[in-house]
Amino acid sequence: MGFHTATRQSRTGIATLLLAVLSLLLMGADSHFAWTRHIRSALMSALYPVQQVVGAPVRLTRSFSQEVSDHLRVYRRNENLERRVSRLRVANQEMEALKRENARLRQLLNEAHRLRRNVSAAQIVAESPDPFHHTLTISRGKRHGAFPGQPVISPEGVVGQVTAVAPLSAQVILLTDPNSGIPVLTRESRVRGILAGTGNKNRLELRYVPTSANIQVGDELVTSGLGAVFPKGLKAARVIKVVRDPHAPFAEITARPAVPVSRLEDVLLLDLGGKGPGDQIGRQAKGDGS
Amino acid sequence: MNWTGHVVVGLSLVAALGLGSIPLADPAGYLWPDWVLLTLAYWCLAAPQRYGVGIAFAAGVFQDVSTGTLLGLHALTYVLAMYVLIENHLRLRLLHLWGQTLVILVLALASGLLQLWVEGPAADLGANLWSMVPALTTALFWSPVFLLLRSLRQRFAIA
Repeated sequence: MGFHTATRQSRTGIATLLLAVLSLLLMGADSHFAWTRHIRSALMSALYPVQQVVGAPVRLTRSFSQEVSDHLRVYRRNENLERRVSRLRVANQEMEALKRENARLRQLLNEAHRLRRNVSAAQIVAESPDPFHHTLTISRGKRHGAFPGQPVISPEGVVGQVTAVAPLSAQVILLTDPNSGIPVLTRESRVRGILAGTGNKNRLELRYVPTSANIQVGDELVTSGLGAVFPKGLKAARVIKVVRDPHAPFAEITARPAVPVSRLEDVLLLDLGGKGPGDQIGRQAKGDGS
Repeated sequence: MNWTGHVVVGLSLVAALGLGSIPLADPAGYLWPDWVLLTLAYWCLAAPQRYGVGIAFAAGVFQDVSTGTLLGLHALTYVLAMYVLIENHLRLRLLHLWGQTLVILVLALASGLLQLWVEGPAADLGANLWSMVPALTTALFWSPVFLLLRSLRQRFAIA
């Protein structure tokens, strides 16, 4: 019995020794020779199905959780982007408004340059609700140099004139007001008349034009410079209707204002006296012209 | 000849090899125990006259291929570890499960250090000491592996 045990144990010992030496030889061979590559690749292909089978649940779980987390991430990202888009859309709208305002102001500035006068821009802060009194309140007053009778224009043409000034604001009577009348002439045939308001914001009357005068639908009416309120040559209106009654001394002429006064936002106040450098040139040019 | 027994032992080793090669994320990868060592240890303690250093050598070579270590490195450590177990199997069988756990810990640490010594001289020792952590988890997994394989052995009447 004891002998048997001893034999078995020594057998294990010998096997261990042999296998350990074999392992060491294998390690040496693996680190120095290339042929162990073949053993490795053969064993690797034997292991491959096992790894596939055992790893399958893990891979499955992982791909599933990956899928879920991807979904969540995409969802969250989408939410964020969605929020950002709406924020940007709001910002974009503001930008759009600013752009429009900028274009408008640039136009005003160009007009000021063209007139070679000192102008100051003003915003419309209030409008008379009375349909027969077309007046505006603007954001420039005595403090800013506004004075009664000051011409108010826009890039499209004549708007009206200042009637009353407060320290920080002024009242403007529009050329469509029934009490307004400005001296004008037709650009082509130089026929004079008084452009008077009717109380309708889209209609003006050209008064005191003789029936025989050379005036037609479509003629442009510009300020004549008479009356010393408006400078010469500002667009005021366009003739839309001419009615000639042979028994009346004057023709009945209807015109549409050049400025859509009901849609105004910004206006220019024209300085008549002129303190800026542009004024000198302006007067010279006018002098040359006449 | 107990063919069912051989098949069960072979399958358990194959499963251990497969488990060891599951690709894992970092924290689990550092803690993943040496399943092959545990399985070999159980069969060598349970049936040392049938499963011994030879099967340890074969499983070790496969483990080398699977982990990409030097061919023969795991084979050597498994052969030496199993030799220690087989030489002392009568004494070890009498030990409580926790005592066996301690023995497994010592064996796993020794095999880890051997691998470190063979493979890691060029690398930074501080970082390589992390490779000792699986020895701890290997020891902790001894009890469940022992109980599972014992139930298998009793069901299939191996040895």
